[in-house]
Amino acid sequence: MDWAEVTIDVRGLSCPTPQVRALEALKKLGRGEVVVLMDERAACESVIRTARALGLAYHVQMNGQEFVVRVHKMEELWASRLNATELTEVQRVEDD
Amino acid sequence: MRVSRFFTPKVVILLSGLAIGALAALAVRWGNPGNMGICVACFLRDVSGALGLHRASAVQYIRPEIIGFVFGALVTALVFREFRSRGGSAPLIRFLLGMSVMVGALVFLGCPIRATLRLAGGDLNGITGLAGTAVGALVGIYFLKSGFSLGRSTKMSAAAGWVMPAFMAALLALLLVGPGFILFSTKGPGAMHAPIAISLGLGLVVGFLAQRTRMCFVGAWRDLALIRDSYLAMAVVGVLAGALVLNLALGQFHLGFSNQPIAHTDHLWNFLGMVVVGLGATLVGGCPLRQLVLTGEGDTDAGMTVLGLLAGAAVAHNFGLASSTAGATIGGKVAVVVALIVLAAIGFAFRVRVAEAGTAIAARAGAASGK
Repeated sequence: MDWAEVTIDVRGLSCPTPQVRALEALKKLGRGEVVVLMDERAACESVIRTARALGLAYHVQMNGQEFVVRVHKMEELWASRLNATELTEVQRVEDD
Repeated sequence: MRVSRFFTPKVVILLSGLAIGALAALAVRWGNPGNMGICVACFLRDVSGALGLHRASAVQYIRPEIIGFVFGALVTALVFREFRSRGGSAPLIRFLLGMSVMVGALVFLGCPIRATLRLAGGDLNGITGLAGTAVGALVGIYFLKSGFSLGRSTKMSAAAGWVMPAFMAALLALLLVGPGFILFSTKGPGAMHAPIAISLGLGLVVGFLAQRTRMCFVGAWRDLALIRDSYLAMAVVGVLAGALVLNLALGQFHLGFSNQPIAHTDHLWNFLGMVVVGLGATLVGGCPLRQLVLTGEGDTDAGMTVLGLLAGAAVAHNFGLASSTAGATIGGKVAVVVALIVLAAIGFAFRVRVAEAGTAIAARAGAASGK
């Protein structure tokens, strides 16, 4: 499986959307990194909780009121846990 | 989320819940109605009545706790540099969601916090209420997973974020001055209240704790189901345990379904009323307490939700939708069904394709979708 990096911009979206979007992106991803852009500390905390609950490693960057959380998904090992919350709709993926 | 060895976030929110539960039990001792040390829905309903938006003479009082929740969150947000004026994310829809949540809450007679506090006081109808909240949150998750979003908010002039705190300051002034046009109950639950200073202080403490921990009594169920995470649920456990211990110590614990303070035993409608609350609050992004806290942080969209809650209370009492100790009314039952239809319609109508929602997905390094 190729490694991929997916960026989701959830700035301005209120709780719990950032968390749900991050979860969806992680489920779609085979192996790689989901980068979540946020502008709210509470949203940042909820995405961190999501990463922790899934047992995934993450890295947080703070820049004033902007938060960037990078969640690493190294392999398909986590598939069973992710399947518990199955995707209902295929996300559209656009090129940068 | 700074993590120390003992005071992990989970321990902190559990201790905060314990403190809030204990304070709520004490508030009953100090004068608040039974099992209603804290009830965001009931208290907003009382405020709505005090302002004359409804004329149910037994439930009219400007509850200082409400003012305290917002001020506590405001001061905390300012200190921790989290105050941000923002808004513009479907305000009218949030108003409608707020109204629906209040109508559901007043059929059950309590918000998710009071459902927890009622259980802690031995009122087994609290279980029905909590079950309804959880089921409502589950239905909400279905909509969230199918792309539900109310859209982005944008930064606003700092003044915007101060409007709701100013409204709360005005409420405090009206409470202290007590002009003739403000209605205060002389009997009934509205006449039962702790001294103003105590209520305000309690509100400030709860506002502070809730702001720091992001406590949410609907999000608790959502996170349990969505990501199997029990962080927010610790708040529910804390409030339940804190209030239970104090209620037992103060002799305020009475086990059973019937003859509970400000409660009824129409199980189906208790349940469905709280399904409305759980679903509506999941769609709007948080329980009534969380909405007040966000209001204090400068979120004008949450402010609209709070205004919706006030309007919902007015409608509930003016149209005879609110339950009494005798049980749910015909109007209340119809209103719950209507609210469920409205919530489902909003849930379906606001499903957006992820890319359209502005959640631009950029894939690099080939393998776009990963599958």
